[in-house]
Amino acid sequence: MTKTVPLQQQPRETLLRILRCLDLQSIVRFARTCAKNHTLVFADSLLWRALYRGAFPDSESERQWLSRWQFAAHGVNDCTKRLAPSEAAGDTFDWHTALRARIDTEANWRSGDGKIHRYYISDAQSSAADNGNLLQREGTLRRMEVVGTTSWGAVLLVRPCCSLLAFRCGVDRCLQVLDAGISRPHVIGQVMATDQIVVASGNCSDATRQFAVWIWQAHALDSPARQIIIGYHVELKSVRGGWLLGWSGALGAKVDFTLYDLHQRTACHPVVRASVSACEFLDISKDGQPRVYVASMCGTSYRWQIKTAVPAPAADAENADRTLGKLQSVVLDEGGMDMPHWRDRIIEVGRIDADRILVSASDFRQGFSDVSVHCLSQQSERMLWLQPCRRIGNDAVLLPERHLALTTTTSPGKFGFVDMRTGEMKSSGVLESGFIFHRAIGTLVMAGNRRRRCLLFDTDSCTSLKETSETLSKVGYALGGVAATYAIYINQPGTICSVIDFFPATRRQYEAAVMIE
Amino acid sequence: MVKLTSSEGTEFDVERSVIERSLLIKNLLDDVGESDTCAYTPIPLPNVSGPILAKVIEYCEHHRNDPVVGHGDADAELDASGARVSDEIDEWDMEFCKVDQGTLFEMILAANYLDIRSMLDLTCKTVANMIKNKTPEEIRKTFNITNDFSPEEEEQVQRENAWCEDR
Repeated sequence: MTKTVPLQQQPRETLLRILRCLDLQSIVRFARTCAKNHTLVFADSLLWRALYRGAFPDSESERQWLSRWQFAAHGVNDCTKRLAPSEAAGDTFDWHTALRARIDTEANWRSGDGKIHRYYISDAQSSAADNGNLLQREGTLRRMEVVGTTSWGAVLLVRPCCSLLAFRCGVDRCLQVLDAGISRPHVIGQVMATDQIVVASGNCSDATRQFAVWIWQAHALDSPARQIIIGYHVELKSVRGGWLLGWSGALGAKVDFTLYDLHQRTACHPVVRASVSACEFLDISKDGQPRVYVASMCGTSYRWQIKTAVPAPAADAENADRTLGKLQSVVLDEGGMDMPHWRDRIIEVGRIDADRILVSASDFRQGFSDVSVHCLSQQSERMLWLQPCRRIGNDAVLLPERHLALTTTTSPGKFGFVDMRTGEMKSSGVLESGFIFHRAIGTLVMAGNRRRRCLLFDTDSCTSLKETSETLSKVGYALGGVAATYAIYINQPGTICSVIDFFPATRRQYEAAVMIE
Repeated sequence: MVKLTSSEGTEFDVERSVIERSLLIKNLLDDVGESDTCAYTPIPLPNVSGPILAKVIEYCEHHRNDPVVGHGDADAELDASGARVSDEIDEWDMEFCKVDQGTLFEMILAANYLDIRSMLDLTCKTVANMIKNKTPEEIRKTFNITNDFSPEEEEQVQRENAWCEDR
């Protein structure tokens, strides 16, 4: 036999190839054997990227988490840098630190005890005069609801003054809608960078139906960074990923949808205009490229239509009307909705693969609402399956990346997960009665129940993980926040707002990043 | 037939279809063309010793009918699937890799040099299995690695990586 070549003299590429066959724990133990191996392991970002992707496969929610973490750790909030690191950038991105933060967050979310912050809301109108310091330690309370969330917290609407209250990881700040004539905040959502939110509002008594759109920076909530006016709309429906969708027209008549790109310019820019008979729900999603799903009633035939559209190419952007022909429609079978009433409401529309579209809808007939989940093929324009979920609540959440829909079930007092590929109910009977569901990061969703507790569910096993000790009347939102993961509750509507931070250890880091900005 | 010469000058005759599992040799033969030259002109392999070349030929003969593993960007393929735990080695391959450590590492180098992707994967997985589930001290002992950390450094490294152990 020839001379021996010890492990330590193997080429670096060979050693890394060996390491990529190992799990995280073994790799780190190998790194601990000597200084050379330590350098080898921790200097190779591609190795850590492989470990990260192995533990947390690429998905929209994971990209969001990475983007938020990037902001928390490095203060990156530039529009051009907002997206999660691309594969091409894998050799420069700090995947090792990102993996550590992600594992910590997941562990804390699953088994950690959330730190609870309670806020008493004072009389909104009297506080409004105090330059927006709405949060006091004591006080009487007004009606309050969660109207939107961002990566850094949530925004609450305090009625009747319609002031907006912003929570940033438990730190209270106030957003003030500057135009007193505008009374209805319709849309609040995250846009562009992780620290920006949009508030869109309009005065419905105004014949011109003008809407104003404000964009705030999360670290400077005292005044909006930008203000944009949009005219002639009935309502602004959604803000996602820097796109804003509005519609105008009257129910039962033609409705025009306009998609605005908030990234590009100060003035909103119409990108897609589509005509449908009535709007019920729409969505913008996927990979930064907006796709509009329009669900509508079709005349008097009681058939649902799902239409999709993508923005026109840049060259056509100024002639947005010409994109009408680009809409593709999918018509559900007539029997699909059990004689749908005109008040039926599409709750959520999502896409699980290239062909299948999920629709959850509720029906408000007979004094209560039913929820059902429809799966339809865009290609064949056929309903693939229908999962009725009767007599409980009116909420359902689609989790396309998990191939799951979380919804109420046919059995009173329960809810469960529907496998969106087959329509089968995967598990049920966990809750007494779920009434609001929201997705959080990764594999978990949160639901509220009538025992006034908040429960977290693992969407891999479709089982509940833990129940909070807090007794709450309403679960507001569960968020996959920056490095933190937290839930916001409204306890006794209009009285106390509780913020449960499931990852308090990193909040200081996040706050520091914001303050530097 | 193809004639190969090891680093010591030992000659090996091997069927072309067998040794073409090596992308290096396949490309070489493709460049030369279909002439009979290759049958009489040995291909020198100065980086591979005789015993290792014999192992390589043994591997290629056993796997001659296997589909060829993609010779694309190996790193990209590994990254796409994430970190993998190495427990998928069949019985023959396991016996094939029951050699002393020095031979195993030379087989890795030979597979890398000759560009035989499946053999490279197999030998790397075998080494990975020798690392897996061992403590740092056990890994040092297995591979004769000298611990050059000072006690303070070792404690610091252990502390920094405690999060992996707690999972």
